[in-house]
Formats: sequence, C-alpha cells, structure tokens
Amino acid sequence: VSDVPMRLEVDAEACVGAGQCVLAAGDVFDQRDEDGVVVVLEPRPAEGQWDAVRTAARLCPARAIRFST
Amino acid sequence: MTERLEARRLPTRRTLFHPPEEFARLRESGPLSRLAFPDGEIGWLCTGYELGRRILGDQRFSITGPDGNAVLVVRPPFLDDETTDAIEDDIERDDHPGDILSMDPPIHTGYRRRLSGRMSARSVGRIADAIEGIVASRIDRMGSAPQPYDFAHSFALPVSLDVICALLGVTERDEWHTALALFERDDVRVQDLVDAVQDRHDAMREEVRNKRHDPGSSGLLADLLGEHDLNEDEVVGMAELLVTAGHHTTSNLLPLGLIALLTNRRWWDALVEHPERADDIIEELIRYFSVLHHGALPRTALEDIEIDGVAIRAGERVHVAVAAANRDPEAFPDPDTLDPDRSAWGHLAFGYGIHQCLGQHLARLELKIVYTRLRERFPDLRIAMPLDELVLHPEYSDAHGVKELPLEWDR
Repeated sequence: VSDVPMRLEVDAEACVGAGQCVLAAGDVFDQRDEDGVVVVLEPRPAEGQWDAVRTAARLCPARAIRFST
Repeated sequence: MTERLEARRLPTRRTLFHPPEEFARLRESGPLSRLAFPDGEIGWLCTGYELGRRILGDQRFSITGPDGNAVLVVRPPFLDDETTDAIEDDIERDDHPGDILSMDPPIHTGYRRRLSGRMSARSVGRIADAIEGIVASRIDRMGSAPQPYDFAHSFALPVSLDVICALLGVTERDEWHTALALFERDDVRVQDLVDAVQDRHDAMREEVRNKRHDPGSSGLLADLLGEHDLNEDEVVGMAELLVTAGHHTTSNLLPLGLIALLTNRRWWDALVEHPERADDIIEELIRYFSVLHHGALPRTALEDIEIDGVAIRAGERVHVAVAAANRDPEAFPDPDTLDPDRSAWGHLAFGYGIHQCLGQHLARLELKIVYTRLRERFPDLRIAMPLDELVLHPEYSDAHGVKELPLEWDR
C-alpha cells in the first residue's frame, strides 16, 4: 500500500466527451448525459484502479485528466 | 535529411489487409516526411504513432485551411481545379453550418457538446435493443437468401444505415448513401455527384421540417430541434454529417472485419466461446483496417510550431496517415499481424484530439452485435471467393473496403 497521495483532476472545460475515460475506468469516471462532459465518481481511486485511471489519462483525446502526486 | 525534403503524393495503393508499403519505408527515415497535396502545396506527412497523436491532439493546428474549408489530401481523378470550384459554388453551403469537422475551438466546443452526451457509450447503449432488432431481421432475411450472398450490399450497408437512422430518428432513405457510394465507383460523372449531394441536403431539410412539426418525434435529431439556439441550417448540417459519417465507415468495416474473422477462425469462434474477449477482438479489427485509409483530415499550423525537431511554419499543412500510424511497430509490436491479444486500445482509427470520432461507441456496439449474432446463426460461414479476387474500392475513395463480399454457408 502506497502512502503517496494521488490526485485526480479533470479539466471539464477542455473535455470533448469522447468517453475514453469511461471505457478505461468506468468505476472512476462518468459522462453527463446532457453534454457528455466528464464527471469524476471517485476522486480518490483505490490503488487497484490506478492503472485504469492512468490509461484513461493517456487515452483522453483532450488531455483533460491529470493523475499524479 | 535529403529524403525528407523530397515531396511525394500520399501513397494510396493498399491491399486487402495492408496499407501501402511506402508507409513503412517513409517511417524508417523519420515520422515526418514531405507531402505534395493535390493542389500543389507542399506540407508534411506523419507516419508515426506517437507523433501522429501529438499532432492530432495539438490545438495549434486547425482542422481547416485558411479559407475554412477542409483540405483535400487525395483528389479523385474526375475532379480538376475547375470542377472542384464549380462544385463548391454549386452546393449552396459556403459556410458549412453545423459541420463540426470544419470548426476549431471555441466554436467547435459548443456544437460538439450538443452531440457528445447523446453519443456516449451509455447513450448508444440505450438503442442496443433497436440494433439487435435490426440485425436479427437482417439475419433472418440472409438465412433464406440465395447463395452466394453479397454481405457488403445486402447486409453491411442496410444495417449501418438502419442503425444510424435509428439513433437519429430519421427515415431510411437512399439519399443518405448515394453521394458517398459514387466515390466507390470507378466511373463518376461530376454532375451526378453534385446532384446527389444536393439531393441529400434537400432530403435532410425535409426530414428536419417534418420532425419540427411532429411533437411525438424522438431521437437525436428531435433532441437537436429542441435546442432553440440552433437554426435549421445548423441542424441539417449536423444531421447530414452524422448520417454520412455514421454509415460510410461501418458499412465498409463490417465486411473487412468479417473477412479477417472468417480467415482467423479462432477469433470467429471466440466471439461465442469467449464473449468476454469480444471487445478486444473488435478493437483490434478497428486498428488493423483503419477504414478511413487516407487518414485524418489534414491539419494546418496556426502558428510556427517545432515538433520532433522539425520546424513547421504557420500556414503549413500536416497530414497524419492514420493507417500508417496504426501499423507503427513502436506502438504496436508486429503491427501487420491481427492479434486481439495485443492492447489495440489507443489506436488512431477514430482519430485523436478534440475531433475524435463521436460515433466510436456506436461503431463498437454495432460491430459486436453483428459479428456475434452472425457467428451464433452461421457458425460455418465462409467467403465464397478466393481472397485475391475480392475487388477493393478505388484508391481515391476515402473508405477502405471491398466492392462485394460473397458468402456461403450450410443451412
């Protein structure tokens, strides 16, 4: 178990609603029905979700996801 | 460096399973090379994956040329300068209202957001039952059809059209595909093309007006009409883009993917024996065929940009050859092998950046339903023609695809 706090931040202004984050980590991210903009369900994802969140950040076409210490 | 400075046209001579061989040779001398556009401009061609992603994700590049029109990277032989101008004058849509593929931010952002929520994985999941119904009735008809059965025309095209029409809530009409189908022919009369585009536009305007006066109407188009700050021209433009982009790609990928599955029976069988693998199989098919084989729309630098040690000047064009990027061995080891065990996620077949395909979730769902139901109903499905006799669309057609795909099976 890591003690390093990981911070998940999303830039809703930059989001283009392509839904890659939901594909990669559906437990952590959702999209609003009205405009597709990202919603964070789990601001402090469990360590078991970190890889999926990193994938989401890498796939995001608007680079709207930051996941770092 | 001298090789990089030698400008050439975009390679387009592909085979059924592989993009043009020149891409790999170009990539070996660096991910950027010079590219001659059909109008005589010299720009850049990107054949590498990482760099392609960076370019498509970089908003210092515009999706249009300085005149606001999309840049052509391949020009069909029947379009010379004069006819291109004539077509642009003839089709009365100089400012492309609602065409989000000719907009940059911030204008693009507001338009895209009217669509992205309605095309998310969850939203398209709501029409999964409708897609199942469309596919089931087509499979029934296929089961009683004479063999060999042309999957391309009798299945892939009508199913793709029916599905996008179900999402939009518009009538299924020939006008939606006539213009695009012309580009898949070897002989095209320019006037037919002009007429077909105008007919499509008129038909969509009629749909929009009918919807407006039908309070019981539902679907994406009805939702857009409920957004009162969109004018009719914009709704027509958005709907035309969705209906064309929404079927042209899938209708061509469905036969290609089926060829790959029927010649790699292990993955064909896995669709029902290991359904949990279906998503990875579909994703690899999407990467492998990169159906819009010319690539993403060319971008134009809005300012001087240094990328990968190359200075791109403001106004210069860069074209990302997506089919090449998706075969970059740095990103996809042994890229020319169809391998659903690899992680194909992150491929560029849907593009990347703010214009990434809005229909991608619909495409994945549609492909999965079609292939799975076909495998269940026709486990011994076979291609009724040697693969090397399958005829591809002409090089200038932006969609990779086969003209027909004859199938046979035991009843």
